[in-house]
Amino acid sequence: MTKDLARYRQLESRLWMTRWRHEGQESAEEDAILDEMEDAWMNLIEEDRALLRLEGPRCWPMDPSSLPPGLAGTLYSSAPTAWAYEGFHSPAEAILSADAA
Amino acid sequence: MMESDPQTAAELLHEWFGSILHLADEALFGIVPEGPHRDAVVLDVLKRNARILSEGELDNEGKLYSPLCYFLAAACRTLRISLGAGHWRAAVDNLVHLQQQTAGARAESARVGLEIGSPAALFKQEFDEAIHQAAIAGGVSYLNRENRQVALGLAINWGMRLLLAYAVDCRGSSTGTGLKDLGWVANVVGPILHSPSRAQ
Repeated sequence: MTKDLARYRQLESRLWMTRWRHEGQESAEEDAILDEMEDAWMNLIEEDRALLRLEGPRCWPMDPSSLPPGLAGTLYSSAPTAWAYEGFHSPAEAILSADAA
Repeated sequence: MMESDPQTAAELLHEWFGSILHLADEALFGIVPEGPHRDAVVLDVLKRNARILSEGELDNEGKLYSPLCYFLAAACRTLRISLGAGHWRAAVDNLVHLQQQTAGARAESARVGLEIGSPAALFKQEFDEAIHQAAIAGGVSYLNRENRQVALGLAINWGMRLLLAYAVDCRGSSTGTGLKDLGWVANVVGPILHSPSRAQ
């Protein structure tokens, strides 16, 4: 992730939290963040912009389908914990043999 | 009726499985020359028969015999494992012990309202779980590749035992002279299970 995109992500989080605190109503705090985001947007490279355009709006806490930025990206990314059959060094060891006894 | 000596039975089963492997190599896997295509055929045979066995239920007619043999042949080939007489001896001994244990536990399990099932049913449960974990019969396995191979090894282990127990349960589907089919397997294993010296 580029430094500029990381900054933009931070601003997204702040915007989400601000809107959440104000229950979705406009606020001066929100306006200030939006100005900063506009600034940050101008510094983004085209690939990052394309990525953000693809994601669509993500900073609307009052929309039940909207997750906080950052959480949305990680929610489904944690893989289930792998488990293993313990004590076997090879598949051949899993087949019991009277010769090995 | 054959001898009730487990070592002789193991050697007979080892020889019999050798002919199953030979047949599978010639007629089943041999539709293409050695190489990636043959490996793909082996994998297809493995997965197809794993699916049939996983979806199939135990019966008394021997319907699972062919898929079980093809599965074992393909699994051994996939893992590049050769089964020796020692493996078959261990399987025979395991079946004998399990049959004694389940016979002893049957009355007790009935008292608490639980059905523990026949040795074939118990082996099939383990077999089904192993092929599920090996991710060869559909579904998702949480094992990594290395451990999925161990699961396939376990499937061979349980599959051998299932085959022997199943053959005994299917007795009566019988065999003709000179045939070495499921009835023959039952004739090899059956006398050991019913031997008075082993029923103690």
